[in-house]
Amino acid sequence: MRAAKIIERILYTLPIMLGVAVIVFVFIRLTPGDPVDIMMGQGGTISAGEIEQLRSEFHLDEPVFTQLWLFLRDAAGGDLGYSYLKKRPVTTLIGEVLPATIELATGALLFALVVAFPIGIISAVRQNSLLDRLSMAFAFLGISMPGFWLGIVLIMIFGVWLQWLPVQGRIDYDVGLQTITGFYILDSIITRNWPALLSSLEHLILPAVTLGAAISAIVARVLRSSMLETLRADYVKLARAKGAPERVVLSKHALRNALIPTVTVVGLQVGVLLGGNMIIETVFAWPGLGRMVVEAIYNRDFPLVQGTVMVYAFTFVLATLIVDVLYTYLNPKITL
Amino acid sequence: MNTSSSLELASWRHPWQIRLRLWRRNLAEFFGELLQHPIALLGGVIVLLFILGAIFATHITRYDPYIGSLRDRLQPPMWREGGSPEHILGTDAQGRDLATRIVYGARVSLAVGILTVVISVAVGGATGSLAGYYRGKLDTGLSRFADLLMAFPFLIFAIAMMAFIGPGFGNLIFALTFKGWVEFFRLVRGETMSEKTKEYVEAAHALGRGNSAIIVSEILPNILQSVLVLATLRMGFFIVTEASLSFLGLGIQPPTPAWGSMVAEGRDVMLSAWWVSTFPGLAIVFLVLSLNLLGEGLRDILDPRLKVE
Amino acid sequence: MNQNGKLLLELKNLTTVFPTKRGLVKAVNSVNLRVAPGEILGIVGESGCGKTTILLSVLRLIARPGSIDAGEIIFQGQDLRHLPPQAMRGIRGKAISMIFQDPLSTLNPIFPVGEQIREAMRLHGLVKGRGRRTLEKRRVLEVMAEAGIPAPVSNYRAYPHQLSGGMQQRALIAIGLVCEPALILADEPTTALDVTIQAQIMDLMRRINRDHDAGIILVTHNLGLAAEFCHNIAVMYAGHIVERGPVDLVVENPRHPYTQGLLACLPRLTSREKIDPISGSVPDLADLPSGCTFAPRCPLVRDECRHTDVRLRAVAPGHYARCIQYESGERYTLKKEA
Repeated sequence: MRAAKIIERILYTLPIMLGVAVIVFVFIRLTPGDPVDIMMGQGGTISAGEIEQLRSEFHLDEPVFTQLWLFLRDAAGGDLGYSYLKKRPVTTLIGEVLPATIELATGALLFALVVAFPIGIISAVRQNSLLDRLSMAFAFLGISMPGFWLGIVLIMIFGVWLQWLPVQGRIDYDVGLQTITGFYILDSIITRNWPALLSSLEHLILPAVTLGAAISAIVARVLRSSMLETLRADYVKLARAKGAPERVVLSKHALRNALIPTVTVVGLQVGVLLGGNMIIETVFAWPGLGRMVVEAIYNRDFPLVQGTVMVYAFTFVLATLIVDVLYTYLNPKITL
Repeated sequence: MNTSSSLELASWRHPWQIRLRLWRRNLAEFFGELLQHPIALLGGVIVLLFILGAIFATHITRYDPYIGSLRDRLQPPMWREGGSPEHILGTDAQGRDLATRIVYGARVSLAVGILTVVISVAVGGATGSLAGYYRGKLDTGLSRFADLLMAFPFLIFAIAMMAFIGPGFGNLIFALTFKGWVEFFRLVRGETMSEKTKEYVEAAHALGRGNSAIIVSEILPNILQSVLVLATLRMGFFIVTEASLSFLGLGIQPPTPAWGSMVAEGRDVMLSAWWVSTFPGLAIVFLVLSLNLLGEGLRDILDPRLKVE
Repeated sequence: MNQNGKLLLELKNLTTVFPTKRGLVKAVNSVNLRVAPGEILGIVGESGCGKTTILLSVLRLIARPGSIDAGEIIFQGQDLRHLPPQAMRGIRGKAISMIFQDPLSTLNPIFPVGEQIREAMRLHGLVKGRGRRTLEKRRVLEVMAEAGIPAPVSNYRAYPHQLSGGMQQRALIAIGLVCEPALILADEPTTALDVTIQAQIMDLMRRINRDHDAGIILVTHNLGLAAEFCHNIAVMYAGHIVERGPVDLVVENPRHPYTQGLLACLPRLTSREKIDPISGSVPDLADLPSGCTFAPRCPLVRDECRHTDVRLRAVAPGHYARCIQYESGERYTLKKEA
């Protein structure tokens, strides 16, 4: 029964995905200028004959709706277009850089949760203590800081002044990592290349911390306020009256209930992750999807931009879906 | 709180006069509480300073924000070796006084922030109240569209838009408000739906007031405080987004002083001149922090005051 | 009622305080109470008089910044105040269990009720060894049936919001029963329920008292309910016990003006007299008047009442009241207003 409802929910996202694709399609039509010029970007000069050929190949002479339909059809089949600048299909280009971004996003999320959870919980349990006030002050600061600035400041402190950590790229050149999955950390473990593991971790720290800082601030605040509520709930009183030790009361009764609103917020933060990684990857020269998009924008490589934006949007929709489903498992009062 | 107001109501004046009186008293109460709330006060004062600084930029700065002398390029801030009181915060790669540029940059950030918020509130509020009040197809259509827009992470949407329509102040406002109105739409819609079920709305109906009159003069004033809180908090977010876009070169273009692009320019000289990136960024932090403090403080104070029923 | 000679619970001069901005609130003010094994004691009073705080104090569940300031809580011969935290936890839910007032908010919304009942057993390790879970579940089903929950097997998996108010309360009672406590603290167990369900729940509790020989302290603001159900009654006002004794004596022949007032407030089907409410309202516990706390509202008040601290005095065998009338042996009658 629940499975049916989950499938129903999944199906509900399809129209949204469709809408997303349409909006992205509209974006590119908003660009002033001749479509062929746009698509060619700075690909160099071409002859008039080639222009004609491209026109028909891209169905630019056909009505807009046909173009839309063809665009959607291709996208559904996994073909996100072709980048003239790089002379390769967009899908391939994305596939190449995706592991780097996933690694960064995972690192950031892990950092954020590892920091936010203890802080949120302890701040709630010891409300108004020095630790509580300090961490909430920091959290407040965290949500007010722009990511690009934090990144640059961290680079200046840890990279330039203290020289503890590297400040750009994913790994040093001379460790000779053999890539299997594209995830450097995994690959270095699989191939037992310990210098490579160290190097990739070192490179990951600063960008992950920068990206995760804002997220951890938000999650810590939400977790704290949810915990404050659940700690004062009657069922916590009952748990204590049953003779439960305090840590069971905290973890099983208070925390589990506090997770419910927190998970929703974490799901929203995926959006911050996706958006933020463009900026952070640029600041740290991290060779991922974000940096590729920004470069593509500078180079006016619109097919690439278009395809990547679609991928971002789809990921966000997917993340929201997962959060919704997860939520129903956590909160028995809500059925899909 | 309303016991003395019933005495006022006893002398039956025109309804809006009564409401105005209650409003004025509530407003006075509000300011009284605001002054006693240290956090909101701190935030509010700093924001006010920024605003004043932006307005009177020409009077409080000495230099031209666009032109600098290359002889004085990359001077450190006053308290460091090599710095001078001539340039308190130092100069950038083109010899322009950093402090001056930061003050002028406030103009951009505040203008973007305020305009975006105002337009988002106007659009979101109008659509939200209509959708929440009338429901039906209008509501479904708007809500679906809002859901669709929310399927994009904000920054990605803004970046994509700016990438396609080009940089510049007007385009920036357009891109930000295009997605910015959605949150206000949802807030106003939700509040309208819940206010609609309350008794004073029924009473107004019974008195024969028209729908649009009800929305404007009955429901909206009660929603005002939630909108105000959200607006203050979102303004900080819009400013950070503008800065991020300018940082990427997609927002306000140089040579117009904008904090985001100033940080980007500082990146090139990061190794030798740390101040060029740091101080503009600090300006962002202070402004946004103060806005957030003010917003949180407002939330404490206003919830659930200022309701005129 | 079982007379054992040895008391189940004795409270000696129990004082529980809460520091507030307005001052120190003495929610429980030098209270003395006794409960014999198998006895049902009712504590009656208006909201805010400290009745629930007494129960929470017994279980040492007073949250900071409140604290138990003075007195002894002697349960089965042991002073609970001196127990180390682990031992106290062993008593909570097992030897002494508590039934709370509002079942929907007291039950944890994210766990099935059967699991919540089982948790009470698990915490105290009542069942050991292999097949523990099955044995525990079986016991839970037994208790659920005893508490009157229909279809225990399917309701085991139900979530609190899926049950009716009466069933939720029964679930709470099941939690209070499963470890076979010697003393049950019931805090207004029927206030949130319909009248018909109230009667059923009270029947259930009576049965539990009989079958398990469990002592019950019933806290309620409903004097009529207490009168029907309890063996002994203690009337509380502003943190003090103002009258206590066997239920028949207190109800038929109340000696404290407050109790008299409460009884006069009860509407009676047979009489058509006007109800005489007690004038005034409950005092601010942070700002108590000197002398007798009831003086401001007492129809029999005299000057001495405001200056003298009165203690509980016997007015009949087993029947005590705290009023200046009984200090010297004089009796006063109500001055009728013209």
